[in-house]
Amino acid sequence: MTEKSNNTYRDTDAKKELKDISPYLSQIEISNPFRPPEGYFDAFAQNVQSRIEKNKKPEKSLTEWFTLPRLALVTASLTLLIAAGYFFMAEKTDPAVNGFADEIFFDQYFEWYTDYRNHELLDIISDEQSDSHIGQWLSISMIDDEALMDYLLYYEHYFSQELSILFPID
Amino acid sequence: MEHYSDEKLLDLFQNSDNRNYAFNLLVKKYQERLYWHIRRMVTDHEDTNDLMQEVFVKVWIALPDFRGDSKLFTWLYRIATNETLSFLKKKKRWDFLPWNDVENVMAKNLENDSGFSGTQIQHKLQKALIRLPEKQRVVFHLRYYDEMKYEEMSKILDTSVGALKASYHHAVKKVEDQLKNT
Repeated sequence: MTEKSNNTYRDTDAKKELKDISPYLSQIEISNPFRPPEGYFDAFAQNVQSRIEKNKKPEKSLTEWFTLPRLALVTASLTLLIAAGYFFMAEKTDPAVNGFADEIFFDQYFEWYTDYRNHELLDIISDEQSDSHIGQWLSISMIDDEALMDYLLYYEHYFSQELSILFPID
Repeated sequence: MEHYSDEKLLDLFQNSDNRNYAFNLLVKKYQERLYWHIRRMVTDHEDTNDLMQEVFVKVWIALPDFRGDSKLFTWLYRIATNETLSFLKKKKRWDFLPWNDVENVMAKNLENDSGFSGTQIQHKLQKALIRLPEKQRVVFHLRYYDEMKYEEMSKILDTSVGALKASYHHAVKKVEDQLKNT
């Protein structure tokens, strides 16, 4: 079964529409001013296949993922979170600082933090894991803020579980 | 070269013995259309080539899960468009340049590009297009050069037909103004 053309995607009224919107622009000949290098399309399919072969590498196991710098980063982040939580709770017990101003501060902080996570972490995750399935999924899919937050919350839970195995609290 | 229908290509791809062969045919079938779609957006051949490879590697990875909810053609264009827009966004951020300066750099590159062989009016047209917002530029290219139906564009860009018509109308008017005033 062969397919000779893709005219089903073409709108024969496109030129007429252009003439209606801009008679001036419709008088300019529509031509393609760009040129690819000689023989580019002849070799392209082979180049893609080579690239795919090169990309075929075993997926990282969990123990490989937990390299020393990553482990240190996760530990430092958790320590900071615990410390922040401790000070937050300590502050809350002081009636002098447990006022409206603090509520505004924390509202603004969480608003900024949520915004930061939504916009910056998506790129970091996509870049960090560009070879993994989740990286591919993130870059292909039209991910929204809610889905990203679900993803981050899942990983927060996942890390805390893994760390409790690595550092059991007796 | 014989062109297989999308259905036939997908059937071939499902059979693991034919996978590389089918993918090769798919690349050959769509490479030129996707190349021009990307090249018109980023203007530079090297950037286009990098993006083309990224796009087809992603297609290779995701194709086994392609369920045919959309047409293959639409799906490929969507991946290519997302990759291109994401590339332009990153380029702007990495170069620490405001968008106006990125436009100037792209326009300058166009002047020195040996792969650009347009007439003076074509040159002016490309410079005017660079100044359009990225999404409006995609709409303009798909309609002006590819004469694509709004219904197909709507599936690729996930935008309503009405919004696309309005976007194209604005883009044409802006380009016309640019051409008349430069």
